[in-house]
Amino acid sequence: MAAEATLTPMMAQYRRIKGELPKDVLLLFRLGDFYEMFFEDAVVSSQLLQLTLTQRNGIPMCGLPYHAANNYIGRLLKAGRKVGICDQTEEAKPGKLVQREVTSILSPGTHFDDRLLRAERNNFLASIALHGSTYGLACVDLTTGDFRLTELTGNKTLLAELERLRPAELIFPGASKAVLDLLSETNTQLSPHDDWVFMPETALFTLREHFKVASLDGFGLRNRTAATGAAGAILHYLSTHLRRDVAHLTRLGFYEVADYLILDAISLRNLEILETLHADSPRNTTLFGALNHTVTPMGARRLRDWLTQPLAAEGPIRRRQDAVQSWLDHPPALAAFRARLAEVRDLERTVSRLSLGSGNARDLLALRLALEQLPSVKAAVTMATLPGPDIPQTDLLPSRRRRKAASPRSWGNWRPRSGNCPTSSNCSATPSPMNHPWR
Amino acid sequence: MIRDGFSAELDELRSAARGGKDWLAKLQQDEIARTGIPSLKVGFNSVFGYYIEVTKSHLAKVPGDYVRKQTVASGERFITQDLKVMESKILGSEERATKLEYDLFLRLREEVLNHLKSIQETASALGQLDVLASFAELARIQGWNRPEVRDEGRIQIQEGRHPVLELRMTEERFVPNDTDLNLESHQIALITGPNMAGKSTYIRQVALLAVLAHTGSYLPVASARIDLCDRIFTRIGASDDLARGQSTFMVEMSETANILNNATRRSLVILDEIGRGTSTFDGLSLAWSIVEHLHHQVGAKTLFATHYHELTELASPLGIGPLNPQPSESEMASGRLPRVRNYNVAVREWNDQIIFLRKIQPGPADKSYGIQVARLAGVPRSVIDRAKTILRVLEEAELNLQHVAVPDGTTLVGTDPGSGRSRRVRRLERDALHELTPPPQLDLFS
Repeated sequence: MAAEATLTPMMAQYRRIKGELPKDVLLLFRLGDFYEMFFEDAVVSSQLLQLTLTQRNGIPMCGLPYHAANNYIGRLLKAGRKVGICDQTEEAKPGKLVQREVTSILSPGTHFDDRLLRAERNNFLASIALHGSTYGLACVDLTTGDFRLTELTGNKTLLAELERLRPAELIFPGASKAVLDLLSETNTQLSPHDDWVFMPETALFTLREHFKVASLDGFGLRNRTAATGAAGAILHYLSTHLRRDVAHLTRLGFYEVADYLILDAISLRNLEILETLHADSPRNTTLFGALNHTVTPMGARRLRDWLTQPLAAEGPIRRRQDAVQSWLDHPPALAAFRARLAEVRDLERTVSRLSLGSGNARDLLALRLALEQLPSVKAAVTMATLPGPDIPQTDLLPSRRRRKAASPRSWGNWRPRSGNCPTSSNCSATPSPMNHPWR
Repeated sequence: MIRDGFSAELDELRSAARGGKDWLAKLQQDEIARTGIPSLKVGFNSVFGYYIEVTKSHLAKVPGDYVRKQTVASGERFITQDLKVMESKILGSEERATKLEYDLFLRLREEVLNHLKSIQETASALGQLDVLASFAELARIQGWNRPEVRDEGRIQIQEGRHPVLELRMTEERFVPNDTDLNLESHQIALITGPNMAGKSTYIRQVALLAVLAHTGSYLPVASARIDLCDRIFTRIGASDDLARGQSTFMVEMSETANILNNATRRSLVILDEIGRGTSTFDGLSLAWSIVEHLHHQVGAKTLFATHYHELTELASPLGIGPLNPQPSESEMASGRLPRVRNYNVAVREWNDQIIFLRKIQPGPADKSYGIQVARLAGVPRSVIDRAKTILRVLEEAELNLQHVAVPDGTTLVGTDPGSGRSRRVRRLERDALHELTPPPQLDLFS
């Protein structure tokens, strides 16, 4: 090939880096103030992004300015592509080839682009494993740290659950034609992945290593081979395939669809629970739109969850009703709670960004603002005397799946190492009351 | 990014940089005094660093220790030994301050991440409390009430409203409706009435209230008892699957099949206009046998909105009023289904117009009012008149089809010549009367 003969050191570097990437990833190669794409990637991207395709030494290429890269990357993700970001990892020095490395690989189900994300909606990456006739389904929202899984029997049940969760991307054992045929009925971006990753032994190893536990029984995964396979595969895909930081996936929630009222895909659509039947109807004609009086994105996402996965047991429903009644009995507490809570904003996504290293000082300030609200939030909750000392989370779900919640450490001594809080003078008031509010 | 007073090292670097700048300001003053050049300025650019700029008119006064560095349009730029020494001090400490500041940021972030799990759990708990508080807020501002939830298969709603429409409608008051479903006597509610009367809205409303009750939310009702359901099935209108190459009727039937195969006694089934996508007799026959199957085999609580009036004859005549747990023998023999109840949407006729009252009431609907709806929609008068004539002819013809024998020997409801005839004759007679004597002025919204 003519191009080989004239391969510059930089193009050799490009070839090496591109060669180490999964085949379906478009490589954005940082050259000074531009991200350049070469060869087939350039042809594909120039069409998707309407960029001018040029040539250098017979090599097709196109580029985009790095300061506007997010916009372009967003469009590639929206088109269902994966994007590898290759940055310069040292200062450029004249006459010397600068070091470059792929810093992350973004995909439709794993990106953090606020322009594509909707605050009140989870952005799920899902994973399917098949064991016998049982499907394992795992779901991760990197932006919130949500990690849940279940097991399902029957194609219809699986499709219904996928319709409910609406993952942005779905991985599955690539060699399984049956699974592929089934999943192609969904509107999700499909990413076939290596079969061995879904194998129970591999998956078990991946999970144990991530959660640093000897056994997964504590997560309710005993004898849950299919679910284990799906969960292990999703972690492997994120950390190895996409080279993403998954440290903030600290929780794992196993649930059973039988614990919930089943609303199949057709009913979700017909009853316009989340989306209108007709694209041009206003958004508040959905049940979610009409009902959503939450004040934080976390609440909005949770409401979507509750509406699509209502409970199917008396006790848990009554516990929620009791909580609602407590608020109704104490209107001032309710008003105070909602006013303070609004200031907490999207704590989940803030802390996820910080954990993934993409967070900045603004996120720290947002975190501070959120934490500052907690004493008064807690006071409002106390005022409303919510029943029971341990209302949060697991208690509002059907009790038989209640997992052993790791006890949050006391936040009492939360302080930056060097003493005073660096961000503002009144910050030092914040950390002290940080016992977990609902312990 | 990092406030003064947090890190002594950072403060030192910053004050070095600041001190350097003070020194520069002083240098400018001193040099103006020394050289007598009033416009002398100390400046900075990223290529050459700090410099002293002298305008053209004063170049003659430049002292000998200035080193020329650059010529610009307005004058020349110089450096001095002292200036360079100070420059490296300033830039060095600024650079180190920036780096240190970033390191401190990273350490703080690290510190935060030590509490990652606690923060995540707090966020999760706050999300749930947020939803519960939003339920309370809705209940408070809209006057919603707490449904009773048990596990005995009942759905009883007094003055239920549609949760979405109620929140959207500001001027018009939503007409509340009752619902009564149970496994003993009111398993299947057949709702008849003209199109546009609100059948679909009503059955969706019941389904939405059932969904909401299972989330723990309060409901737009005067009171309600909503017992646990395992699934909610809906078969409503035409889906948009046409693009995928399936016919409307095929879609309708496969959705129906799914319901008949998977619904249980604990399910709630919402059916809107089954059998519409095929010919009248096909559709009616299917709708009929589907109701029978739901009644005999599935046992799911069902709301069935239909324009097939013939189906109303499936219902127990005692459907109105008190419970009727035991069907009479004659009822059984007649093919009537004891747990099917008729309801209709109240409609008032006035001067050949129809007024929808949107009130669900017990009993079958009188007629379909299709022609009146067509008139409301602006179909030309001549077509309407002709349709009325044709309808009369068809209904008379139908009377002659009453003796329908079914191969397995059972008799279909309503084929009894006597009862079928008398019913329809009565209906025809009344229609005829209508045209002769216009109804008196109605109190339309009583």
